Amino acid sequence: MHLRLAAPSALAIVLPTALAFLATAAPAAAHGIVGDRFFPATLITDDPAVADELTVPQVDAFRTGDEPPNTEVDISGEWDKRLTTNFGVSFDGTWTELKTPGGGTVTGFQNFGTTFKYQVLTDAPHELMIAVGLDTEWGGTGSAKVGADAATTLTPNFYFGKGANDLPDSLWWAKPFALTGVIGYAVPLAHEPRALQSGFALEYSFRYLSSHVRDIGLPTVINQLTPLVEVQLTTPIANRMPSTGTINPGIIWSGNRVQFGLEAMAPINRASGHAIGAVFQVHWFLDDMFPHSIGRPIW
Amino acid sequence: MVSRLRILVIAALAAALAPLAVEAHAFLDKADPRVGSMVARAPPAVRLKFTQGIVVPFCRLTVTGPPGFGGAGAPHAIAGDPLSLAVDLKGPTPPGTYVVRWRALSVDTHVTEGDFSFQVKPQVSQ
Repeated sequence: MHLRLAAPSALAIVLPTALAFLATAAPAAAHGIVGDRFFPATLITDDPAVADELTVPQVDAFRTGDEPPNTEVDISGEWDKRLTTNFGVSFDGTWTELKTPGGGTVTGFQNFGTTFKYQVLTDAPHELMIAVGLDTEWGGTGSAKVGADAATTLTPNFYFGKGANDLPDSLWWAKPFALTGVIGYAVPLAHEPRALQSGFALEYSFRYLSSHVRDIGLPTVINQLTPLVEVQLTTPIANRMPSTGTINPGIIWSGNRVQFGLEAMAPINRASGHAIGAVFQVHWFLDDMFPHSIGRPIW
Repeated sequence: MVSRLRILVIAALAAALAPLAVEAHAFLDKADPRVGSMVARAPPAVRLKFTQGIVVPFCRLTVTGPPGFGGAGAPHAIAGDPLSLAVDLKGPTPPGTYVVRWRALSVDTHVTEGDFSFQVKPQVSQ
């Protein structure tokens, strides 16, 4: 007598596996989602999330702090890739065009950069995100003509993001506010001054207002807006050079797979620039565009 | 340089607006009753509409209310609307604050979650 064991069908294997995966899927952490809070990718300061994202293009145009000032246009891009759910790496590059007062124009790449980031804490009840990272600007990979440094610079960074959901209900209108920031200590691997680099973004999320606090009847396209003010500062350590930086009021529109950002760039002093500049960014959510391939963590 | 910049920006915009066949995180778009609203009487059901298609069997939707609230049924789909999720409210539905908690699985397996409240006004006897 021959016993024949029925082979399980492909459906019988695949279906329970898929159901088990779906049932245990964790809340999304990509592009800064913690509980009800969505931290958009900010334009000039890095946000605290580890994500699969692509920034291309980002275009900055401004007049430099040189005397006399140059007119500078930067076109940059950045690819952020999750290696694990909480650990990622990013690669960035910037192409610069400098127009000098005498009519000359020089072009070239800035140094290329790499950043490793680890998301230490994601606390949904308090809408809190904390991450640490190490940014490396690879000296000598860019063109000295446009100011790229010959020395490599390492910058350990501390990132945070905090929503204002802990405010009392009487301040319901303020709950959509959130603050994100990054503080880093730039250490050139040469005899050059070190610097404290800091950046903060104060944001107001209409999406949070309509979906969590109070729907005041705004259309969906408005609910996808996040007005914000970013501040970026570089403070030299151990010399008397002034801090430089910009204050950037602007707005971000976040769609399902892409966001657009536009900000003015107001220099904080003459050493930071000579006129109000502008920055525009297109930012792609790769985890939403390609959730089953390049938008997933590798491990 | 300027024309190159224009081409880059136009290409990025065109790509972003192109009808790609992809899905994304399901964020809460609209709710009935409205988020944070005060209504004269409790509706028969709470309905949520998301920004993306959802997998209803793996979504959660609960409603808690004031003392005396009869509770809510199981979340269910709304026929012909792949973006929405609803839960029926059982009577009684007394005045007070109701808290809605949801967890949504989008069709591409991203999970999002959130909560909000609405209020039912006290009945005024005439």
